[in-house]
Amino acid sequence: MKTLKTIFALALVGLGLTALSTSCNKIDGTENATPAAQEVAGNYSGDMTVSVMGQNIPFEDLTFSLTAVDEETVSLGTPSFSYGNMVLPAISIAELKVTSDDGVCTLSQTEFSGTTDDGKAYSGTVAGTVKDNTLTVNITLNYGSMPMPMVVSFTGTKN
Amino acid sequence: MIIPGRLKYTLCSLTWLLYSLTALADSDAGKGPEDTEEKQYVLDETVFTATRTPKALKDVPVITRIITGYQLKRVDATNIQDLLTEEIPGLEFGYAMNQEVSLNMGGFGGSAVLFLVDGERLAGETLDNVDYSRLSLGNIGKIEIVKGASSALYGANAVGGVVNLITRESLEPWHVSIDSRYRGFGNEWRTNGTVSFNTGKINSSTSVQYTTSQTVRLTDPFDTESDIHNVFGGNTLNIKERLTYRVRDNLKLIARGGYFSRLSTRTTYDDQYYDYSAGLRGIWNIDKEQTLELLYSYDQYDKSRPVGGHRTDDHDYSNRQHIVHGLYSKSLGRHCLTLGADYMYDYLSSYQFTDNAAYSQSSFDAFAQFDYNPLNWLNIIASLRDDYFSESDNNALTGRLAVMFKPKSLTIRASYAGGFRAPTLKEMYMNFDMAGIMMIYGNENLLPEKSHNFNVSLERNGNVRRGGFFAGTYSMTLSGHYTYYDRRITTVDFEGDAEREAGAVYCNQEGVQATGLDFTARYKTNSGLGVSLSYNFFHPIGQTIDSQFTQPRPHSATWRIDYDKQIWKNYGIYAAVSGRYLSSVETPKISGLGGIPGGSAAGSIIGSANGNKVISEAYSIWKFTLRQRVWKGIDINFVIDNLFNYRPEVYYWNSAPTTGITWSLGVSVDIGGLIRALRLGWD
Repeated sequence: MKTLKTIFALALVGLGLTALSTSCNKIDGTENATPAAQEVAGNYSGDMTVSVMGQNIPFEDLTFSLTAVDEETVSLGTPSFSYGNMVLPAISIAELKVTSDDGVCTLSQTEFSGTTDDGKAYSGTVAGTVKDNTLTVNITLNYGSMPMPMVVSFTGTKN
Repeated sequence: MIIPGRLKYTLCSLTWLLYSLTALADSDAGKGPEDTEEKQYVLDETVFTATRTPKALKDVPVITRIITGYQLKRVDATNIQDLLTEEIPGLEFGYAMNQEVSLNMGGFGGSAVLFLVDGERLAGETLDNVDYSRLSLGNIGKIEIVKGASSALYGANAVGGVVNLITRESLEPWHVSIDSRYRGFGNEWRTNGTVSFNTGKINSSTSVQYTTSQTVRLTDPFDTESDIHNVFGGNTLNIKERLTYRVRDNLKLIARGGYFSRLSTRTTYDDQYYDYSAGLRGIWNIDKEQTLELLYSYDQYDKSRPVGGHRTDDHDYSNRQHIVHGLYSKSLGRHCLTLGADYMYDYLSSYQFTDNAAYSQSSFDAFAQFDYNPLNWLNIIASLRDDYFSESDNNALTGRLAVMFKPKSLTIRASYAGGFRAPTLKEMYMNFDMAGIMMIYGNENLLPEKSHNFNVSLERNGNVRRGGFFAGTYSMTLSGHYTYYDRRITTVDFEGDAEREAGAVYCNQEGVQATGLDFTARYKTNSGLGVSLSYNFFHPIGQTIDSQFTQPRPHSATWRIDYDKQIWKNYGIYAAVSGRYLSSVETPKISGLGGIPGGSAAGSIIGSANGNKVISEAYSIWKFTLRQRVWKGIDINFVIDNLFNYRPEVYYWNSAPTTGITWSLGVSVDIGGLIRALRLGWD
């Protein structure tokens, strides 16, 4: 009898915890919601604009990728592109926190830094959203010896 | 060249206006009740820069502005940039690419304004501007500013003006002072220390200034309109020593040395700057009529770029200058003859040259000046100079003629001055891949820039006796100028050739013309109240000085209302509300970058006459200053800057780099004065 009471109490606790859980994972309103990071993970194709000193340079048909690291963290992969005589390699921006609210997943504004394979230092700030399978991301990128930052804006849909 | 008739008409009208403004004053110019310390000091102050000979400011036939030690303390500026921004309208500091400080003075950029310390040049430049952080004010006694061309005395770069910082020589047996100031913007700390002693035979002055600040973010990181997003922080150390030895009453030797370092903390790298300087000067008063001065100076300015704390070799720069200078002057009764000659060896090693190569050149010059004073109310100065530059094999002959009339209570000055700037080693030999974006090439066939500058000014000083509380003294100056600036060296698009890819190349551009007006008025009451206003108008004619970095504003002004009072024996205050105004200006915007669709090459980056334009908005910035003098030698300063919280909507290169209202608090202590006061108290 005592054992039965214990089992019954534990079942009640489990049900209570489930009922009280936040809506962070209830993307589709179901109780078994996909974690935000997994929800947004994937490749996104679209157009990009690079702005330097107020001038906007368009780039078409590029692919950005979001890779889930854990349930609330993704890494953002950017494509390689050319700017003037300079070729910027693909870089990976790790440790982006992603939260979900009312159907919109937000990539928290994050500062990042790193070094490319050929030894060029880079740093910047990134922020973005994913809504209806559309990724919108803004990156301020300081690259190598470039004296001014590049502001990269991308909008693409999930493949 | 034709002087526009509009200018003549304007000047005649303004002459009438000036007389009208002073018609109600008591026209007893120069006399009257006790003048304030500032006014007397200024008019009778001996200045050197305008003529390279000592003359009282009121007797100089060339338009000269002086910033006294009193005014230096009042502004509490850290360096020349802070000071000149507040005191001189028509002078604007902005940013150039790489966010280094860029000057515009009356339409002329940094390469056309000559900065001197005790008459000596500074080595090194970044984007045509000297490192203004080197010009700390800790031991500066006064600053003399000559607007307009002065190449006949100073040679290259003195096209738009000369700014000469004069070191203070302490006459006290000993002096120790320290001051420290905190400013909220960038959490900036500035600390100054000065130690000097004077035995009569030997006079030594040592000053150290250290400044540190943090990077300030101006705008949203994803702002695509603004040119600048941050004001970068860093630290600066400036050490100077000046040692004077009086061999005899008529012979003194002056040795000086200096060390400077600056670290600018950027995003993916830092920029490191160093300067080492030394000099030895001998001044021999041969007799009552003759003076001979000989000088040797050395200045080395280095730049490098550490990444992650490790020095890279891809931004190494070293500019070294050896200068030998001789100056002889002889009085001929009321007149004075001055002869001078210089030799300079200029060495430049730069990352902007192929394989960090080095180039050097020698330059020689000789000049003569005759200061003719036939009458008490008439002074004429004529100067002629010839310069030779070995690397470009260029000769430049420049002259100046200045006349001063003093009819009754008015001073009228008129001058013509030629200016020139020889192409630098950088402009001749550059072969630079700018951050992998595009190439910039030098041009060995560049010709020197030339300018012709005409100035006219009217000055009136006087006093108001019957004004009660408002009795005091006034000073007004109105000046107009016209400048023709030819063969300006700049960069234009380069389509490439068999050996070089597309990019930009240095070349001589067609001439530009500019006119302008300056008006300055000051009034100081005997009771301590002061009002001053300075206004500058600038108007380019035809081909404009077209650069997105150094675009001059048509209208600018500075003003100050202050009150200075010694309330009790051991307590005095100085309070001021001051401000500056800059009108809006259209600024060219780059139309793209080399190799980028829709863009043209680096003429677009360095300067472009085509493409889009943006409006840099007009703005004014106000400042409140409270300075308290406590007991003997303790000053407490409190400043609120940007009193009305102005903030640009978009941060262009020449926008005010401010995030709104900010404050600073500082304390300075004259330790020597304190000790002397204590001794008096004990005695």
